[in-house]
Amino acid sequence: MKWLEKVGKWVIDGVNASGDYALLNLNTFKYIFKKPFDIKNLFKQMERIGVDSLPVVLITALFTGMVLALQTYAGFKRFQAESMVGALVGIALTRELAPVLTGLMVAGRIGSSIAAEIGTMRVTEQIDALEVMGVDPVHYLFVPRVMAGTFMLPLLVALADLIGIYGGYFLVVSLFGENPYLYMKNVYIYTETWDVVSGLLKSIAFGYIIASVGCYKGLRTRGGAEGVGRSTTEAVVLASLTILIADFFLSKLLF
Amino acid sequence: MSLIKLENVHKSFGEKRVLNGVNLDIEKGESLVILGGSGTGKSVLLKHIIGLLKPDKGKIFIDGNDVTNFSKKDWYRIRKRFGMAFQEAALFDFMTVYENVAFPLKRHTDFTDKQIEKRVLECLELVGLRGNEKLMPSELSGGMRRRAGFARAIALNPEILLFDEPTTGLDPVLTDQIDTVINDLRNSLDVTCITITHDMVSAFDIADKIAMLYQGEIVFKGNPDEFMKSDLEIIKRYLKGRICEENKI
Repeated sequence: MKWLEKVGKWVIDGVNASGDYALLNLNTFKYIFKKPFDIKNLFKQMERIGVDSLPVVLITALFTGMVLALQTYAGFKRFQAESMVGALVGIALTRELAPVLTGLMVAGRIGSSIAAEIGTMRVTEQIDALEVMGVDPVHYLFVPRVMAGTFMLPLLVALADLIGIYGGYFLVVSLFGENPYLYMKNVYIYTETWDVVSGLLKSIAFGYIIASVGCYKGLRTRGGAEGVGRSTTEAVVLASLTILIADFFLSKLLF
Repeated sequence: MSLIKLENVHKSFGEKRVLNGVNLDIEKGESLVILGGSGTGKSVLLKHIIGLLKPDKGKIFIDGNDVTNFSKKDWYRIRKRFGMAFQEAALFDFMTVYENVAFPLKRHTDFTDKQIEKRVLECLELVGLRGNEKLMPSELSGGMRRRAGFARAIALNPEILLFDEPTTGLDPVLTDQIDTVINDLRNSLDVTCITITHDMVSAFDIADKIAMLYQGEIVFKGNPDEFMKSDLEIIKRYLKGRICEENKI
């Protein structure tokens, strides 16, 4: 019966963790509207999550756009549809690739750093110090990070959309000598506003997931340096998986 | 009426029983040192007093009010009366010394920037750290970090100061400095001090009352002289430095 006990423990732990995460999220929402509003900290986090992630996100988008154009060009050429590469790149990037890949890159970069930062604060008693000073760590640490993640990811994705499309443009026009007008015309004709908007809506959810999972894993860190390492890894894995799962359900819901 | 009263407080972590029926009265204005070997649950006891941990059984009273089942919100309110200096200072490492000390003032008072500056410099003066405001915690030595932690703890003029192992890991000269700072703070601020330590020299320097935690219970409370003359076998052994190992309940 040992295995049954193990399964039971696993289920109970899972339910406990979900409940704990949900309650922390609820508290985060409550504190968003409570004074004091830490605007300085919010901007600092927006810079960290948004501005500092730009190089990574833009390089990812550029090469994704290029490889997408490269692969589809080879395929479409077989039935003389090279001019449609722009349409495919536009739709695939805005609806799916830019939000998901940006989400995953930011989860690796920011989810881990948030978990490590808050985890270190936990093991060095800085979180206890906040509590003792009558400051709820959820208010002081979670709110600015979660808000910054939610605000900044759509902006990053919007830029990723643009750069990705121009990555495809560069490849098709410069390398394969296709008509630049046709590429862009097909991007405009076939990519609808809703494609772009739905991608941005998904990225709002992804930004929220990355920041809240990072904060949650950081706050629940146990043990010393090893615990911080574990939390950091768990934050990236959990945020990435949640992004991929949420992407499916959100796509189903939005289209 | 005692300022803080612990009544039959029990606490376990999984199978490990840490507090096993602690009874303790702390009077207003006294400087109580809680002694005990490493791993006897001194920090756990201190965390109960400030509400970071809840007892499994037993009650805690502050000013006669039962705070055992206080909500987080109630605790945040009552904690403004406390200042706590952590073992490794627990300074926010992304802030300068000045910002660390200013932090509680910014969160809990309507002070202007000028008033905050005045208060921060006053606190740093009291702990002998004037002139180091702009340094980051990583640039401070162990003793300076702890003193900066003290400055942050006293910023809001607390009635009760808690010190968690303030001298652990420091050399004798720094230990003496820290003891002097604690005594100075107490004399100039008129506060109740609760210090936990296993450092006997330090305990005798700062205590009016000493309590001894052993096997999850307070086995003695009295003044330093009574402590020295106590017939309790445990205290005799402690004085000879024989019980430092983890207690085994």
